[in-house]
Amino acid sequence: MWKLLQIEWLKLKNYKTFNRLAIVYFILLLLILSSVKLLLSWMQSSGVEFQGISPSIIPFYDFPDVWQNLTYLASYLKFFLGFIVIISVTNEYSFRTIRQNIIDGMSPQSFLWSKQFMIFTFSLVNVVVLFLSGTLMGLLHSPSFEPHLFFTGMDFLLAHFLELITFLNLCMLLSLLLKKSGFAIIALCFYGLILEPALVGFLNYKFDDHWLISLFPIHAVNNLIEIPFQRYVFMEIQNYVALGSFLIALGWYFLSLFFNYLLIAKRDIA
Amino acid sequence: MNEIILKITGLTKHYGRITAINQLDLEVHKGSVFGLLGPNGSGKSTTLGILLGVTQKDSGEYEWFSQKPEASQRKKIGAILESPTFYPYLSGIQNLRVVCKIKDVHDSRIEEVLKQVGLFERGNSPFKTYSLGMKQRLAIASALLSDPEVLILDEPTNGLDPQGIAEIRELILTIADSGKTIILASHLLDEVQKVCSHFAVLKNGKKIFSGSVAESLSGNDGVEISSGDLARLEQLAQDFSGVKQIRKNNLSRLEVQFENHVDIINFHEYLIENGIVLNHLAYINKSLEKQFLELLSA
Repeated sequence: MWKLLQIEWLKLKNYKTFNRLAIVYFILLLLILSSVKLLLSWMQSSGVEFQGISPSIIPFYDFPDVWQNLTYLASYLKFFLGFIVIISVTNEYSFRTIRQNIIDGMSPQSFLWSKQFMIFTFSLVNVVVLFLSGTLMGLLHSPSFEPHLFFTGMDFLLAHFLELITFLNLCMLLSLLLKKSGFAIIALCFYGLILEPALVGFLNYKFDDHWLISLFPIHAVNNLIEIPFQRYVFMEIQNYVALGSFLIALGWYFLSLFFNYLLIAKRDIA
Repeated sequence: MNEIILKITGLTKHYGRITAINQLDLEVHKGSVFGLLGPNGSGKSTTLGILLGVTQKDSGEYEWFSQKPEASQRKKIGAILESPTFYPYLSGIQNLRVVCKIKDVHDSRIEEVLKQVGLFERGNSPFKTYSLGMKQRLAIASALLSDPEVLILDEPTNGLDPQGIAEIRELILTIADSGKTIILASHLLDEVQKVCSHFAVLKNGKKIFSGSVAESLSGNDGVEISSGDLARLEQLAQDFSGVKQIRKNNLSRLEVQFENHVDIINFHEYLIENGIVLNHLAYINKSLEKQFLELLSA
């Protein structure tokens, strides 16, 4: 496993596109995670009020709210990681290096696992960054540190990890099917941002919360962590990870992993 | 011959309605230089693709080193295929590091192989800045990394200049001398004739011939002659019983083919008796090219 990760790292670390995307990603991530307080005070100074509540007293970074708030915000950035995965996989086809790797003695299974370890690493690093910034922000802003509040809601970090590995495997599936980075990125954006939301919206409108909705892949990964912000205007929110959503996302993870395996191991590698 | 390195039985591959390889049987022995011949589209590259694990077979079997195929065997095989494939943004050395990791070879081999192919000075330049000849040499370096038992070459001289072609040929011979097995797919018959010990000919995915190069080239294809009075020489040759065919070639010499029983000494004596003295007499060596074309047209 360590060896496969090293191979993947050798392929990526000197790749300029990867380095740039990764830097932009982490800058955006840290910016989004740390700037909410600034945004809220700015809103206050411009006189915005939420049903009579001043924005600056919203306990955005307090334990345990911080976990759901941050993981929810971070999930918007996963498309960046998706692009990195797409480029990494489609490059292997456009440079025909997947063919060369296998000729050199890698098994198709090892190739799949090297990409899986890359995905795991991205997701893990992401979760660690979230954990560290959540801890830091929580310590800075919570009125007092109480261990039970600190640990409450950490299941959102696990959910975020599952969200990323599932989403990135779906990105890999698109890459294996389309083999060209441009096509795969367009397909991802079109499906994830337009087609599926439109279908979901249609089903919602027509049938009022149809059971099929929860099975759509992008919806499934997005649905793991529900929008937390209405709680600050006294609305009911789901402040836990629902087991059902978790299982559906897990199902999509294994399904996409299985198809990725089929496409790598059972197809001629041209 | 000794140990069998590669054995193929009944290998078949279809692309839709087209049969790319049809019931192919082959054996390659240790230490031989095996030429796989055939026109474009005869199934050579498809066969190598299957043997190297990147193309799925439909039926039939193959064995490397008398074992069922698995990925780790390919670590002991060096492959130089038509177009060198590497990560364009990585340098030669960085690319070879990836191959070292895959093949479980220590990084110290990189310097050795780069020196061997004369690419050491450019090892740190990105692959995309290399000329075709340099790319091909990096491919050779990569194939040599694991000091492989078997070397597979698929049209290795495509697109190379004469110097590059000579270098590749030199390399093949050097490696063959060290007792390694080489499988060479090519449609350049001259190439195969110069380096191979055995060969097989494919046509439309079927093996139509296999044998040793030495046997196929034994004997000769007549003689090439000339003299001061070419017209009289041609006249006499036509009158000689046992002459099969006469042809004037591009050097204004006569190429004469005889029936099998004719001894060249008798012909020569006959010419001298009739007052013709030759200023050139040479056997025409059999060429693989001629046999190849005969095989394919049959």
